[in-house]
Amino acid sequence: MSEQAREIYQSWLDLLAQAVWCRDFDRVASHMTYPNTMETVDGSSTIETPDEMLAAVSDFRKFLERVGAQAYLRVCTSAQFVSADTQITGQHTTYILRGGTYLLPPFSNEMTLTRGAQHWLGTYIRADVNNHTCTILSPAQLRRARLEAGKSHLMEETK
Amino acid sequence: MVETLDALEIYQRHLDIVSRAFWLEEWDELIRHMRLPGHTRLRDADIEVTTPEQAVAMHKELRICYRRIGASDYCRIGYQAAFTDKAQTKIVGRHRTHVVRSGCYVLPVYDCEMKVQLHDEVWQACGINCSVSNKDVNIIGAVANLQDHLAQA
Repeated sequence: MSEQAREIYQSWLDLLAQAVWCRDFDRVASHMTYPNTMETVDGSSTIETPDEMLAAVSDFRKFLERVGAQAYLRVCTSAQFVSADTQITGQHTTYILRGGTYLLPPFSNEMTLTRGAQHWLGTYIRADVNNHTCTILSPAQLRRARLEAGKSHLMEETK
Repeated sequence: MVETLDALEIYQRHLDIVSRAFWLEEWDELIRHMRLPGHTRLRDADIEVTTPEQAVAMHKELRICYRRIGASDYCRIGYQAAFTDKAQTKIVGRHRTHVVRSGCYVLPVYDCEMKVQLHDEVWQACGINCSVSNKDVNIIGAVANLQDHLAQA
């Protein structure tokens, strides 16, 4: 693990976790590339625009509020540079806490960051959790992604 | 079926149980998971806690410190642990303490090394070294004051 990559990755996690918690969704959206791919164990969603990202992050923040989270913490477990220092891939664990204990079992994630003109940008994330347990993917966007997947499958079958 | 856990899993379970008890101020539960006397070492302070009353006083003071700085939660994450005896009744591990509020840290994350020992089927902490100063995190407050008081008496 590169120490520099780990520091960049952890700083990015901390900045974005704070932005999510404080409902600074513009900050979250400005730290992503588009299209942006998010995956969970039971679904995936491609977010095409910053506006879609705002909606997705807002849904996630509502989820944290609904379950009574008092803190949201993400801790890097490994990170390394790839692609001539313009990308970092890493793993982290997400902790959603209340009263010194976990509201959900901690879950691991894989994420890719890409160097942007001003700061590092989230490009891809895969969370090792079911979306029905932790609403990472916006339900509306997930429904749309499933509908689109169903349509393209149908078109393939009718060819 | 007997569940078999590795040293890090046991260590993390112990951390989680004690963190919860500490945060919810369930002092009897916390003491049940401590082996006394136990040593607490910080960068600028060092103390041996010998009685349950001292241990409770120390943890109450720490809980007040966290409340004062506005911490909304507390999480300790183990990252290394190993059995130190053949019978697998003793573990030395390392963890990182995160004290958070509103998605950010209210204290710099600090590392600790802790010994835990199995006693009557309960894993108990029996000594901890923390890479933090007592002037930043008031871990040794009441007990130290008590000992100063006793020394002066």
